[in-house]
Amino acid sequence: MSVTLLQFENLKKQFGYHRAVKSASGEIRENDYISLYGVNGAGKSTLLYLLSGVYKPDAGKITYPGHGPSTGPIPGPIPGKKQFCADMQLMSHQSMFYARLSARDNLAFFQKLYGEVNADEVLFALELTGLLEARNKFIDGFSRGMIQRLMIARMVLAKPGFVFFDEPFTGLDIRGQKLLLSIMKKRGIVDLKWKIKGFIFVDHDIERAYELGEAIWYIQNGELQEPMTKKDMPLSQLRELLG
Amino acid sequence: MRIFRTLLAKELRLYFFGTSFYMVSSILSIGLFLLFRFTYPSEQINMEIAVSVLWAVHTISSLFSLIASQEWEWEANALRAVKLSGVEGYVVFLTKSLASIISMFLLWILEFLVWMVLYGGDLFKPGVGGYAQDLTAPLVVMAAQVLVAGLLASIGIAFIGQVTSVLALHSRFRHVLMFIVFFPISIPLVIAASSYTRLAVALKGWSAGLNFLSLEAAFCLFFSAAGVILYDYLWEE
Repeated sequence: MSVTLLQFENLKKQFGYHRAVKSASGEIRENDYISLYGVNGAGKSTLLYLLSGVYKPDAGKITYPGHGPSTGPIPGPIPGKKQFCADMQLMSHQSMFYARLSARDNLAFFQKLYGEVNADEVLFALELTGLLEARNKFIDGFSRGMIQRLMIARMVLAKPGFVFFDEPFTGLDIRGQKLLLSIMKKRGIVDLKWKIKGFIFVDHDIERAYELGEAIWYIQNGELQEPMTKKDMPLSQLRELLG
Repeated sequence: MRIFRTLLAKELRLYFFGTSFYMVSSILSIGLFLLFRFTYPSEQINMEIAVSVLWAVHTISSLFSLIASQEWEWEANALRAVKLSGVEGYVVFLTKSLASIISMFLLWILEFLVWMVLYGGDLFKPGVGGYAQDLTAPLVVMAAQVLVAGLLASIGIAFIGQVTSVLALHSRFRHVLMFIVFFPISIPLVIAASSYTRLAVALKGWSAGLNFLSLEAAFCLFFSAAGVILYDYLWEE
């Protein structure tokens, strides 16, 4: 029986008058490789940000098994959330890097937050992502694709157990796409002894999302539907649904 | 401690190497000093005006420091990544405040030196400053008092600034909001610091104006506690 990483119940999130997520309940277990589908504006990214802790839900609760709920009079990292966060990475539209620090300094900084910094590992991650030459440049001079690569480098250094991918292929060139595809297909990098124990993946390329994910989540008008398997939902049917 | 050191080193690196904060603040401060210096001819210079100019300039440059510190967190939502790594809000608050204190205090020393060069000659001419007749303390004591007033004000402004900064962070009008929220809250602190500096520059010695120092210390204590307790809450909301 795989471990339950996260359970969420009746999550709601509203921006002004727009109800981005109206109702979302479910759970994420170890070895869940989930592709999340929905048309534009259905609430995919918002749901991802709610589950990863970027947004605080307006209602509902997220629990981390064996620990208390994440809501309270003064929200803050609680043990369960802290443990989950320490083993989680988010690849999103926002780079979440310091624009006026170099690529190397940014990576070293984030690595230090997770543990001791290893300069060789930082250089390895930069080389793997093809950013070694640009290592001393400030991020504010980076293209979208370079920032995406740097996010892959940060992920490789952190070796997270769980990853939230929000359109991670956006802006990546062929080499970057191949690298990320390989990481997602192999569920990590064996040489680094890094195994991804689960992910949620949002991508506009339905075929790619279908290939990489195992479970199917579908969100419609802010409401997360019951999880499905590929047997329940063949690709042709999914295409029709999203078309 | 590792996380504290890492966050502090990042803040200081951004202040001193990542941005042109010091260059901009120094040019702004010197420009403002010169503007006032030549607006008021030397025979009209008095202690009230000169010290007020010093504190007005320092408050404005401190606000720049706080906006810079807010901006690099906002640009790509980098602070979000820090928070997602499980770092607690009060640690972020304390490291950001400490870096602001260091940068503001160094700026204060720089501004005070420039201010002394531009105004000191007139202020310490017997009779001109209006206070120089009743010297009760040597200049070293005056310098130490000014540093203490500047340090306490830097601590208070940094704590107030980080609390108001996180309040304004999620707003589209965060820069305007910083001015609107920060100034009213910090005015008593700046007035206290300015009043104490005036007494110090008038060479009244340590004992004069201790109530002003106490007010500064009270601000520091109150806002440091408020920041530690509320930072996470304000960040989330």
